[in-house]
Amino acid sequence: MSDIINANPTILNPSDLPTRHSESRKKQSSSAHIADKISRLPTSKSLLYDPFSSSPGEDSAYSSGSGSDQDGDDEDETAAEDIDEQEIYDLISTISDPEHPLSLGELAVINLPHIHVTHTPPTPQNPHPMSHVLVEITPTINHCSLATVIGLGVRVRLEQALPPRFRIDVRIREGTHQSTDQVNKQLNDKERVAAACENETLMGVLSNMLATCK
Amino acid sequence: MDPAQLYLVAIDRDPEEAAQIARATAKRLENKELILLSLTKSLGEYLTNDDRTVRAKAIGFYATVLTALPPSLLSPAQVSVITQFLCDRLEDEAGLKEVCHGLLAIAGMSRFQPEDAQMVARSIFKSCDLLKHPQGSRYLVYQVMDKIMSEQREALKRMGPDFATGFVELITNEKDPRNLMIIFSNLKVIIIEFDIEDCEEQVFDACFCYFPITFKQPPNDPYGITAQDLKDRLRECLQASSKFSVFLFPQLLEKLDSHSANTKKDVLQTIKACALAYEKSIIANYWATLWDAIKYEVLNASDDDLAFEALDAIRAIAKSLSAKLTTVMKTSSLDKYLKAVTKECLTQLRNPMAKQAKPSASILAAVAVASPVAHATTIQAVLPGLSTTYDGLEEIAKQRSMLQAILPLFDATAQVYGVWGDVEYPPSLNNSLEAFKDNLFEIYSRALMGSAKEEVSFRLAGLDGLTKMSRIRNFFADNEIGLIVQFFDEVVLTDEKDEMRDFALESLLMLSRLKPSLIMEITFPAFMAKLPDREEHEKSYDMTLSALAQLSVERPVFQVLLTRIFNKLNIVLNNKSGPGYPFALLSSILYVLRRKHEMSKDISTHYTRIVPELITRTITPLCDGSGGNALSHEAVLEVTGSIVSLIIRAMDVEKQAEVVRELFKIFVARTESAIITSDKELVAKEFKPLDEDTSLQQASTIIIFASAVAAIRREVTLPIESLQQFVEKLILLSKTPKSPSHRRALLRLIAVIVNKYFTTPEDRAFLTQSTDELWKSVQSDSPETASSLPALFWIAKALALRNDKLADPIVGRFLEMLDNQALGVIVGRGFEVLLGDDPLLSKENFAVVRLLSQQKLFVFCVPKLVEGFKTASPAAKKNYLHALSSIIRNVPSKLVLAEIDTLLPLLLQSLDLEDSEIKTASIDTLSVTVTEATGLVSEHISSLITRLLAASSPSEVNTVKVRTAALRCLSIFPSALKIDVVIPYKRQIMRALLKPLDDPKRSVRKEAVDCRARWFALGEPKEDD
Repeated sequence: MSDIINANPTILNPSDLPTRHSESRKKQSSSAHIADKISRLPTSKSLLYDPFSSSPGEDSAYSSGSGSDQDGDDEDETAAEDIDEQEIYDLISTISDPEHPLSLGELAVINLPHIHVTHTPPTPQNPHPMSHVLVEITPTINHCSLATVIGLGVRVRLEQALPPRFRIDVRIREGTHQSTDQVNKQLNDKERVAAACENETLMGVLSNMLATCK
Repeated sequence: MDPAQLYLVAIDRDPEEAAQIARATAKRLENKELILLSLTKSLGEYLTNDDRTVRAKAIGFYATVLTALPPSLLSPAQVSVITQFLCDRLEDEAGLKEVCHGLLAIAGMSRFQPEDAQMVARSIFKSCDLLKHPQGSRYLVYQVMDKIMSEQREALKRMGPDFATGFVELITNEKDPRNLMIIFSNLKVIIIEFDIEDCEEQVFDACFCYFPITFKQPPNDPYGITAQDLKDRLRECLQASSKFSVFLFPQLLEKLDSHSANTKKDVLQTIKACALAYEKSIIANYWATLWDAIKYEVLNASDDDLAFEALDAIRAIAKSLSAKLTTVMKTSSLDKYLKAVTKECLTQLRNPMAKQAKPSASILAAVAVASPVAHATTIQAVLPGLSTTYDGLEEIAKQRSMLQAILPLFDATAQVYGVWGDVEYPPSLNNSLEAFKDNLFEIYSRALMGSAKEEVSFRLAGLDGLTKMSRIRNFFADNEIGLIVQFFDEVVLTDEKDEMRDFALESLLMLSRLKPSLIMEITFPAFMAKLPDREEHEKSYDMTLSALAQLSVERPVFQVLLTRIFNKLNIVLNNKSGPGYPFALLSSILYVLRRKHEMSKDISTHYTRIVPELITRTITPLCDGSGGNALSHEAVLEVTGSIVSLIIRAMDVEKQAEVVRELFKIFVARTESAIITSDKELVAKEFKPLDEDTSLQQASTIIIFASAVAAIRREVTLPIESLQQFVEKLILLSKTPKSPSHRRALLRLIAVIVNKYFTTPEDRAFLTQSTDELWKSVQSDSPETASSLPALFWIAKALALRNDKLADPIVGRFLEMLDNQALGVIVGRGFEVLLGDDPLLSKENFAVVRLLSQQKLFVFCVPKLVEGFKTASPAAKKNYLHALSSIIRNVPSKLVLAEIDTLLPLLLQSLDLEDSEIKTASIDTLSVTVTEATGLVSEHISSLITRLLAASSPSEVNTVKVRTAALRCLSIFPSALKIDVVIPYKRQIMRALLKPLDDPKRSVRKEAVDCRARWFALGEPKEDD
C-alpha cells in the first residue's frame, strides 16, 4: 500500500463506539465492579456451599429469604440470547483498516445502525429457518478502491464466525461510493468470492486485517 | 650481581621475586645504602642492549624501584634528573609502558616541580606516536597526562596553546572506549580551564569527531563501559564552552537529518544540554535555527520517544532564554522565541482535528513550563487565539479536539504554580491563566454538563479540563471548586455512561485528597441523600455506596462515613429491611477497612467505633424473643465477622487478650461484657448461642465469634479453663447443626483452635483419642454416621496445614473410604475442604501454615488415589475423580504437571462424568497441560479432542462454564502443539465448531468464534513481513 488513498480520515473516539450495556458494565467500570462486590448478596450457592450436605444449600434456614433467589456469578443457564446487531458489530468492527492502524469501527466504516439481522420464527414445516444478516459498509471516501477488500474482509469474518444457517449479505451503503453496484456484485457473487480466497496475496492482506479481531 | 641483573634474571621466571628485588633496592636507597646515581649508572649497559625486551625490562626495574620509594625521599634536583632521564627514554619505543610507570611514580613525588611537568608534557607530545602502540600502552600515556594535569595544572596552563594542540594531536585517532573515557575527562578540563582561544576549532574537532557515539557494549564486557557513559562524557566536553556554539550547532543540525533514531536522539539531547549550559546570549543567537529544525521532529514525529526528546530541547531553549527575566519583556530574546513558537502552534491549532494539532499543543505546554515568565508569555499569546478559534468551531468533534489541545497547558500551569497543598512558595509573577479563568470554566463546564449524553469523549474532555484546573493552586476559589464538585457528583450519581462515572469519581478521589472539606460538605450529603431508607432494588444504592466507600479512605472522611452508615442502618432496619441492603451498607465499611489495611494504615484504632456497635446491634435484638432482624442473616453475619476479624487482627497482644476475654464472656461464659453497650444483663441472661436448644439465629452468630477468635495471635491464651472440653463441645454441636453455615462456623472454630493451640503431647493424645472416637461413630451403623465426617475433615485440615504427622492416618482412612458405598460420595467431596484455602485458617490470621503442606498432601494422596481408582467399583470411581478434582483445583499446576503421566487417564475419564464442577476443573487442568506437557498431550490428542468437542455442546452437565472452558482449551492446541500433530484434526474441528457458533449463550459463541479463528489460521501461508 504505497499510496494512501485517504490520508486524513475522520476518527471516532473508542469511547463513543456502541457497546453492549451489560458487558461494558462488567468489563470497563472498576467502580461498578466494586459496587457489585459491595452490594451483591452472596447467593445461597456460594455462601452456603457445603460439601457435606447432600444438596448444597438445601437446608439453609434462609433459602426463602430475599437475595438467594437471584443467581449470583452463574449466568442464567437457560435463557437463550439471540445473535443480534450488536453481536455482529462486535465481530466485524475490530477488523483493521488495510491502510490505517485503526479499526473499521473507529473509522465509522462499520456502523451499528447499518447492520440488520432478521430471524424467521420456526414453523412446523420449517423447524430450522434461515436467518439473514445485512451489513452495509460506508467507505471513508466515495472513490475508495479498497472498498472491495474491506467488504471481502467483513464477508470472510462473518462466514467464519456465524453458524451456517445465516445468509450473509455485505453491501456498500447506497450513495457512499461511486461504483456501488459493481462492488456489490463482486461481494455477493459466490464464485468471485471463492476465487478471491484462492489469491494468496489477497488472503495475506485479509489475514492481517482480521488479526486484530478480538 | 647488581640488583638490576638479578631483577632481569628473575622477571621472566617469577615476577613476584623480581618485585621483591626492586622493593629491596628501594629500601636500600631509602637507607642511603645505595645512591641513586650508581643505580642509574648500573642500568647503562642494559639500556644500550640490542634486545628491546632487555631495554624495556631494565626500565621496568627502575620504574618499580621508583614506585616503591617514599614520595618525599627525593630532592627537587633528583626528581628533575630522573624526570629528564625518563623523558629521554621516551624516544625508545621499546619501553613505553615501563617509562610511563616510572613517570607516574615520579609525578607522584612531593618535589615534582612545575618545570618537570612541562618537560613531561613536551616530551610526550614530541616523542610519542601512539598509533604504533597497543591499547594498554596508550592507556598508560593518557594516565601520565592525567596525572600531571592533576599535579601541576597551573604549570601546564602556562604552556599556552602548545599544551592543548599537543594533547589534541596526541589523541588523534584514538578509538578504544577505555582510553576515550580518560581522554574526554581531560579534554573537559582543558576546555574549561585552559586558554584555547587560538585553537578552539581544533579542540572542538577533537571532541566532535566522536559524535555521535555508535559504540556498542560487547557482551560480557569486562570493563563495564556503556555507550551512555561515553555519550555523557562527550556531551560534558561539548557543553563545556559556549564558544563551541559556532561549530557545534550547524553540525548538530546537519546530523539531525540522519535516518538513525539513535543519532537523532543524541543530537536532541546534546542540544538540550548545551542550551542549558551555554550563556543566554549565545542561545539568543541560535534559537531561530534550532527551533526551525527541532519543531519538525515534534510536528511530524513518527516516534514518540524522539518527539519527547525534541520537546525537552525546545523547553531547554526557553529555559535558557528565561535566565534573569522576572517579568514579560517585549524586547527580550525569550519573547521573540516564544512569539515564533506560539505563532506556529496557533496556526496549526486552527484546525484542531489535523495531525499536527496535538503535537503543537505539547510544544506549547513544553515552553510554558520553562519558567514563570515563559508561562506568562505563552498563555498570553495563545489563549485569546484559542478561545476565538473555539468559538468559531461548529462541529463537536473539532470542539472536542480543541478542548483536549488546551489540557496540557493546565498541567503546565500546575507544574509552574503548584497544586493545592504544595509547600514551596509559588512564583512571584502572577498566574496569567487567571485572566482566562471564567471563560475556561464556562466552556469546559458547558462541555461536561451542557452537551448531549452520547458525546462521551467531548464530555470527558470537559471533565478532564475542570479536573486539571481545579488542581492548580490558588486558581479557582473554593466556591468554584465546590461547583465543580457538584458537577462531578451529578455525573457519578446519574450519568448513564460508566466511563463518565468512573472518571468523575476518579476526579472526586483526587479532590478528596486536595480539598477534603469540600468532599465532606458537598459530596457526602449529596450521596447519602441518594441512599434509600428501605430496601429496594440493589441498583438504587450500589453505585452510591461504592462511590462513598472509595472516597472514604482518608481518616476524617471515614469517621463521617461511619456515622452516616450507622444512622442509615438504623433507619433501614426499622423499616424491616431484608438482608440485602444492610449487607451492602456493612460491606462498604469492610471495603474501606480493607483498602486502609492494604495501604498499611493501622485499622485497630477503629475498634471502639465499630466492633461493640456491630456486635451489640446484632445480638441484643436476638434476646427479646422477637427473632431478631436482618443483621442475623448469615450473609450479613459473614460481613460483620470479616469486619471484626480484620480489626482484631491488627491489634497487639495485650489488646487482643482484652478483647478475646470480653468475647468469651458473651459467647461462652454468658456474663456481662463491656462490648455490649445496651441491655447487658438481658444479653447475659438470654444469649446462649452454644446451647443445644438455642434458636437458629442465636446459633448463627457463632459466625462472628469464629471470625473474631480466628484473628487472635498464638501468643494470646484463650480465656477458658479447658480448651479440650471446649473443643469436645464444639464437635458435639457440629453433629447436629442448625444450618450448614452454622456448622461451618463451628468446624472452622475447631480447626483454628487445633491448628494454633493443640501442640502439647497431652493435646495431641486428646486429638488421637477424639478422632478415633469420631471414626468409631463413622463406622457404626447408626444414622448419624455421616455427621462425624465433617469434623474429621476439618481437624485433618488443621493438622495437615502445620505438617503434623497426626493428619496422615486420618487422610489415609479417608482414601480408604472412597470405595464405601454409603459414604464414599461425601468423602470424595470432603477433599475440597482438606485442600481449599480458608479465609480464617490463614497465615494472616496467625495460623500455622507450613510452606509445603499442600505439596505433602498431594504427594501423599495422589498415588493412593490412582491405585485405588484402578480397583474401585464402577459406582465408586467417580468418588475418586471427585477427590482428585478437588486436589488438583487447589494445588499449583506445577505439582500436577509433575504427575501428569499418571493423572492424564483419570482426567480424561473425569470428562465423562455427569458433574459440571469436576468437568470444569479437569478441563482447566488440561489447558495448562496442553502448553506444558505437549508430548503427552500429543499422544492422547484424539480422545482429548473428541471429549472437548462433546463438552462444548449444551446440556444439563455442560454448563456455560464447562462449554467455555472446553472451547478455550481447544483454542490452545494450534499454537501449543506441533503442526503435524494438530493439522489432521483441522477439518474435523472446523466442522464440529459450527455447532457452538450457534450456542444459545453469547459468551460461548464468542469463545467458539475465537477458537475457530485460531484453527482456521493453522497451516495458512503466513505473509512475509
